[in-house]
Amino acid sequence: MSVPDDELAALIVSPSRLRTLTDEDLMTVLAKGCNDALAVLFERHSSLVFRIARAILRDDGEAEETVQRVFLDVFKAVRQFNSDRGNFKTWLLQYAYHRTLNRREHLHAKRFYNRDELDELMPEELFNGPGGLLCLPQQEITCLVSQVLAKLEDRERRVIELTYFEGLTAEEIARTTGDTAPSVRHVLYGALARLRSELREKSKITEPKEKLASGAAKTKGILVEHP
Amino acid sequence: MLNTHEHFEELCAAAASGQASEEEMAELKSHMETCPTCQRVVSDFMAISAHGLAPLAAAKSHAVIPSGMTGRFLARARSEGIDVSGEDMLKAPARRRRALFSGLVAAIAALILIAGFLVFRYRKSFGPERDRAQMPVQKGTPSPDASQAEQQRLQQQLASARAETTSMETEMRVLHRELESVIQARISLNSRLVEAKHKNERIESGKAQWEARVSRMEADIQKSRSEKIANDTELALQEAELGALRKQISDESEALEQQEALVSQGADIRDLVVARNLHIIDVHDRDGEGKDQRAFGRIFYTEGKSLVFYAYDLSDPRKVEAKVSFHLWGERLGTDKPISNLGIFHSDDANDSRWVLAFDDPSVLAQIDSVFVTVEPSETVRGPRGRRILFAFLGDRPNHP
Repeated sequence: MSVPDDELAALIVSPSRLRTLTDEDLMTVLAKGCNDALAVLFERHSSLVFRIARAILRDDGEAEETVQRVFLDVFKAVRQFNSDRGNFKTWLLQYAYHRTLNRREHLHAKRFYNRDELDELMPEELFNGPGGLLCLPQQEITCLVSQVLAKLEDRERRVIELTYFEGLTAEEIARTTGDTAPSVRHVLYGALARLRSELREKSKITEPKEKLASGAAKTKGILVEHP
Repeated sequence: MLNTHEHFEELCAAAASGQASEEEMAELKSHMETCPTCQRVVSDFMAISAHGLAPLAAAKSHAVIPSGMTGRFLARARSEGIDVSGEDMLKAPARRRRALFSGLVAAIAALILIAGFLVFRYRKSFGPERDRAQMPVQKGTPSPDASQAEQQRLQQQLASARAETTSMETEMRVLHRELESVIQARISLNSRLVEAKHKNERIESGKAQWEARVSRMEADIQKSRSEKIANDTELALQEAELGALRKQISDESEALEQQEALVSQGADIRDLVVARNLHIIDVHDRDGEGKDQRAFGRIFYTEGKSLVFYAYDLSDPRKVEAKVSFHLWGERLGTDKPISNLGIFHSDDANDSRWVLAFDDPSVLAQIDSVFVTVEPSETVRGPRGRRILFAFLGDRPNHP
């Protein structure tokens, strides 16, 4: 920890000093009870979280509600944060993205039946895959995705953009393109698999040999790895 | 038609993009518990979505951040019991932002004024001569020298700003190159890190295999030790049993030998008792004055067959010395035939001080008619050298039955 305990009291009585700390140090002092650190983190990152939520939810009010819930989640889960496993922004984006998807699912389900939003914080099993792209810095992943996105086929890139930039579901995309929802989902899978394959190749991440040796095959340039 | 696993990978994509239904999520999670490949796939898809595509979407978004969002969040946080007091802290940067914005607006306004003035001066300097000739010098307008000085000053400022812009652009390009090199270095380091992790996994796997092998060998050794202990115990038991059997055989053999001896002795006694030509002779020693002492021996002699000589008190200190042998000799009186050694007396009953000698060679017995005992210093002698202590004549008629 880069903030000694004896400086914590000074940070609490002098909140302006919090602005000089890094995100990870702010999480450290937040975990020790300096709640003003949450305000500084919100000020730094709420715009990014809002834009992500807004792109998926397509509603300012819902996006702001999601932003507030994300940072309240951050406060509740502050002790789960471990800077050795990644920086704060990476951790926050995982929360933001997952909370936004949950919110969209909740809103979609609410049209058909009155269901409470799931209050789970983070599905650890979805982010804890061993030795994958998550070991890369977030800015690097964004940069690489931007480069590889331009190489995709038009149809794949279009589905990616409609899904992630316009926030459409597979059914909504199908209505737009005249395709079927299962077909759209398959194209989305192919596009993500292409992105994954290219990113792993660019970042020199290799699959474990035991998996490759036990049945690796290539289909349309996508690595199929299951034994 | 999707193969089985492509189906699950498509579910991974659906989960990462928020398209999976509850049933599909449950199916995927159940599958992932036993499939490390899908754990990696869904983790990578989530990384691409959350760290790649979502920030890109945010960057492309033209959404306007609602004003007052921070204040509303802090109010909600306090309403949910989070003691956050950051409003005062947030005002100061707001003032700084307003001051910065005001300064920026003022700078832009100044640039517009400068540009307008320069355009005006240009038109005025290079316009038609007649216009200049006809244009009257108005009262209060700056003199040409003053305007020129002002123009030069503004041009210098513009040149300085351009130079600063050029310098900043150069610096930005340098920083951009440095950033690219840092990213490349980070990619390289990440690659090495992943390779090291894979190597470490392989080492750990090999170590686990060796540990399992050592464990199996230790178990085998322990099993062998247990078996050896069991075998040793069984061997000891068998040896004890064998010893007992040997003792039993020895005891039985001894009993058998005793029975056989008894049978043999019974047969000898029977032969002796029923013999037709039996001599029972009491042997007496004589002192130096020709007087009889108490009886010293008794002979059971069957002519031409056997002779049994029982002697008493041979080891009396008054009669013999210690550590001597008592030899029985046979001879035929009145002839020159050599004297035969019939053997050495053995103790028959120590308590009774009884000695015995049995002789059953018929050819020797046929050639003798008397026997005598000598005391010799050893068991091997060539002839009777010692003192004669007992004598018996065998040539009388049988006195039994």
